[in-house]
Amino acid sequence: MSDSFLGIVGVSKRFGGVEAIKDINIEVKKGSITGLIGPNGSGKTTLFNVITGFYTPDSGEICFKGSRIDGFNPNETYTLGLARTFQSPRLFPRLTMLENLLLAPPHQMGERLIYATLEKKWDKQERAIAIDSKGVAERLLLNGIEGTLTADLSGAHMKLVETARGLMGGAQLLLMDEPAAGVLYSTAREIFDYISLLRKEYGLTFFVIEHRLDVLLDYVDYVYVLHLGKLLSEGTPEEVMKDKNVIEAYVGQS
Amino acid sequence: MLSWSSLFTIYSILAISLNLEIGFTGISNFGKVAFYGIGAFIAASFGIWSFLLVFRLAYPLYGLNTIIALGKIAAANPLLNVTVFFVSISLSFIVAGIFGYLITYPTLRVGPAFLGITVLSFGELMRIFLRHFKPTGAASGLMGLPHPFAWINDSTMKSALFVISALAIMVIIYSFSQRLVNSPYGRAMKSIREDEIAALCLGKNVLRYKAQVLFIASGFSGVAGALLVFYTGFVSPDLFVTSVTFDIWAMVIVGGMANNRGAILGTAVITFIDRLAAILNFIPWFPLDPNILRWMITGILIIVVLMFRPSGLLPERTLKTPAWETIGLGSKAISTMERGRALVSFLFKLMIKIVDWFKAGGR
Amino acid sequence: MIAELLNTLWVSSIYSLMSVPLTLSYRVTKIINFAHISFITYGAYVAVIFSLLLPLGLIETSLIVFLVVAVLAVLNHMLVLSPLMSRGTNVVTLMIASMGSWIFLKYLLYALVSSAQKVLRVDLFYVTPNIAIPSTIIIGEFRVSTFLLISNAMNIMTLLFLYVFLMKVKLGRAMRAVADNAGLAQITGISKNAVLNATWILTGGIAALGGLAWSLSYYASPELGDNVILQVFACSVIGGLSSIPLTFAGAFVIAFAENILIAWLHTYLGLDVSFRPFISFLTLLLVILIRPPAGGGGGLPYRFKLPFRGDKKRSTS
Repeated sequence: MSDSFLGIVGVSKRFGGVEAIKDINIEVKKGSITGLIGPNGSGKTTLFNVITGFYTPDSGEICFKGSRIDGFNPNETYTLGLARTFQSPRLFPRLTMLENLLLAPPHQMGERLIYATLEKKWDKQERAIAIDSKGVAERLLLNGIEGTLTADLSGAHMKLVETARGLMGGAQLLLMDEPAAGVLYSTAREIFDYISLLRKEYGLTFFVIEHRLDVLLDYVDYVYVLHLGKLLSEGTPEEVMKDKNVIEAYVGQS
Repeated sequence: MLSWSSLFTIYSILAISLNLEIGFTGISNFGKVAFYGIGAFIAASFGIWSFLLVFRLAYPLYGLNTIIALGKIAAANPLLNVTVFFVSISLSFIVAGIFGYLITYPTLRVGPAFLGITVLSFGELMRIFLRHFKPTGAASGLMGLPHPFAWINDSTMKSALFVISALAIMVIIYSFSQRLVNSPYGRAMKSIREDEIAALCLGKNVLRYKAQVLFIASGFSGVAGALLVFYTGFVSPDLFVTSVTFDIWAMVIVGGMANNRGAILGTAVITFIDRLAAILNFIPWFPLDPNILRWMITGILIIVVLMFRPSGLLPERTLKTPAWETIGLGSKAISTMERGRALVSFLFKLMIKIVDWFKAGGR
Repeated sequence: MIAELLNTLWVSSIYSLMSVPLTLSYRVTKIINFAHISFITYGAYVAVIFSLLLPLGLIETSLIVFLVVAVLAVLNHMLVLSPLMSRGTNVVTLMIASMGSWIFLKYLLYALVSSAQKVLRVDLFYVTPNIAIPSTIIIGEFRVSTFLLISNAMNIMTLLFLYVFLMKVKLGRAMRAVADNAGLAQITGISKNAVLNATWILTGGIAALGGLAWSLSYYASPELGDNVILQVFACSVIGGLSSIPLTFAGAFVIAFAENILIAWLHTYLGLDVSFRPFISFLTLLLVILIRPPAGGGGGLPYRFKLPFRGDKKRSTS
C-alpha cells in the first residue's frame, strides 16, 4: 500500500444511519489518469470529501505518497500536494483573476503573520509567483483579464481559471470532480486532451469523477465503479464496460 | 466632555479593527463593545492598582481621599505616570486580544448571522458580570485614574499631548493594518471572506487566520478602551452597551468595508453627526431632542447606504502587492482619483476640527 | 415557592407571545429581524397612547395594537427588507439593515412619546395602558392576578389560531411551504409576496400583543423590547428557530430559569437576583453552540463538522 501514490484501504463513512461509502479499496498509480464512475448517489463525492479531509473515515486508511493522511484537514492535504477541483468553479468572486491565481501556491512567506507586514521578506517570492501565474495564464489563453474580478468573468473563463489555479498550486495529484460537466462534447474532449497533456508534460496524476462516459473512457488508464457506496467493479475501460454488473447498475438507474 | 479629536481617534481605532474582522475576513463581530470594555477595565484597574501598590496605599477605591492622593502621586511622578500609561495600553491589547482569540472556536460552529448574536450576547454577559464584580467597582465602576500627563501644569498642553499620543497610536495601528492587508496575508483574509471552503481547499488554515485576526482586532479594540479611560479618568460597565457596537458598524458600513481609509472616513462622518447633535443641544428652539435625531439619522443612514451604495463611501480597492508591477499592470503609485478622495476626506476632517475649535471657545 | 411558580407561568406566556412570531418570521424569511424589538415596544406604546385618548376595553385595545404594529411590520418589509432582498443581498446585510430599522424606530418612538407627553400632559414613561381592568380577580378561594390570566389567555388563543392557520388554511400552508422550500412553493399558486406580507402581519401583530401583555403586567418603556429581546431570542433558539411548539416550551424554560432557578441559586449559592438576565444569555449561548439552529450552521463549512486540531499532524501508525 505504501508504494502506491494514493492508496485507499477499507475506508467507510456513515452519516447518521446511512452508510455513504463502505469498504472502499482503491489504488491510484503515480502518473495515471484514473477514473471514478458510478450512478448518482453512489458516494463518489463523499469519497473525495473523505480523501481531501472534510470528513474523517469511520474506518480504513488513506495513504498519500507513502504516509497516512486520513483525518488530516483539507488545507494540510493541499500543502502535501493533493488538490481538488469542484464541479462548479469555486473562485473568489470579489477578487481579481490574478489574485485568485496568486492564492494557489502553498508555503508563501507573506501569508504568515510574522512576515506579512515586512514586505522585504516576501517581495521576491511574490514576484516569482506573479511571473509564474502570467505564464500559466498565457498557456490557457487567459491573458488580458488579470485585473477583472472573477465575478465578472464568463462561465468558460471561470472553468479555465479554476484549472489554472489548480496548476499553480504545484499539486501532484489532482482530484477532479466532473471537469467536463455541462460543456459541449468538443469542449469536453479539449478538457481531457489538456489533462492528458498535463500528465505527459508535468507528470501529474489525475483521479477524475466523471459522468460523461463517452468522453472519459477514452482517456483513463484505469476505472473504479462505485454503486450505492460500495466498490462494484474495477479495471481497464474495456473490462469495465463489458462488466454486466456495471451495465445493470447504470441501466437500473434510469 | 470628550473633544471631537479624541473621540474620533478612539473610534477610528475601533472602526479599523472591525474592518479587519468583517471587511477583510468576513467575521461578523457584533460584540465589539465587549473587547472595548475589557480593554477599558483592564487599563483602569491596572492603572489605579499599580499606583496604589507602588505607594502602598490602602484600598478603598473610592473615597475622595484616594482620588486626591492618586492625583498628587501622578502629578509628582511623571515617569511613573507615563510608564503606567503605556504599560496599561499594552496590557489592554494583550488581554482583549486573548478574549478575541477565545471566541474563534464559536465562529466555526455557527454561521455569520448567529455568530453575531452569539458575540452580542457575550458582550451583554460581560457587561452584566462587570456590574456585579466588586473588585472593579461593580456598577459604579472605577474613578480617579490619573491623566497620563497630569504632571504638566498647563491644561491645554495636557490635552494636546494626550491627543498627540492617541493619534500616534492610531497612526501605528492604521499603518500596521494597511501593510497587513496589502500582503499575501491580506489576500488570504479576503479569500476566507469570499469562500471559506475554497480557501481551505487551497491550503489556507482558516482557523488560524481567524484566530489571529480576532486576536489582533480585539487587541486593538482593547487599546481603544484603554485610551478612553485615560482620557476621561473613569470607567463604568454601563458605558459599554450594544449601541456602541452598532455605532461602529455604522462607521464601517458608511465609510466602506474592506477599506481602512473608509473606516476612518466613516468614523469622521458618524462622530461628526454626533458632535453636531451635541452642538444643537445648545439651541433651545430646536424642536427635537438632538440626541434622538442623531440616532434616528444613524439608523436611516445605515439603511440608505446598504440600499444605494452597499460598498460604502470608499469602496474596496484591489490589493496592491508587488505582483502587479511584475505583471506590468501599473505601479503602486496613487492615481489622481485616489489623491482627490484623500484630499476630500482630509478637508472634511479639517473642517470638523475647526468647528470643534470654535465650539470650544477658540481654546 | 408558589409565587415563583405563578410568576413562571405568567412570564412564560408573555415570552411565548413575543418569541413565537420571531420563530415564525425567521422560519419563513431566514432573516434575524432586529426590528422585532420595535414591534414589541410599539405594541406596548400603541396601547398606552390609544387607551389615553379613548376609553377602550381589553379586546378593542388588543385589536388596535395588533393592526397598527402589523402595518408597521409590513411597511418595514416593503421599504427596507424587500428592496434589499430583491437585490440579492445576503442574510447578514439584511440583519444589519434590520438593525438600522430598529434604531430608527426606537428613537422615533422616543420622539413621538416625548411630544405626546407634552401634548397630553401625562407622564408616558414607565406607565401601563389605561385599561379598566381590575388587577386581581377572585376565583374560588384564591386571589389571582388578572394579568396572569389575560397573558395566558392571549397566548393560548394565539397558539391555537396559529395551529389552525398553519395547518388548515391555504395561506398558512403556503407559508410553511415557503419556509421549507421557497422555490417549490410558487406552485401552490399563492404569490411569494402575499406569503411574506402575511408573515409580517402575523409577526408584528403577535409580537405587539406580547408587548401589550408585558405593559399590562409591568409597565411600558421605550426600552421594553431591548430589555427582553435576548430572553425572547433564547426562547426561539431553544425552539430551533423553526418549531413553534418548541419555542413555547423554550418560553417555559427561560421563564423557569429566570424565576425558579435564580431563586434556587440565590438561596444555595448566594447569587444576586439581578443576575437573572445572565442565565438567559448563558442559555442562549449554550444552545447556539451545542445545537445551532437550522440554517444557523452557516451553510457549507459547518455542515462538515471540521475536526480541527490546529497544525498538529497525525503520526503515522
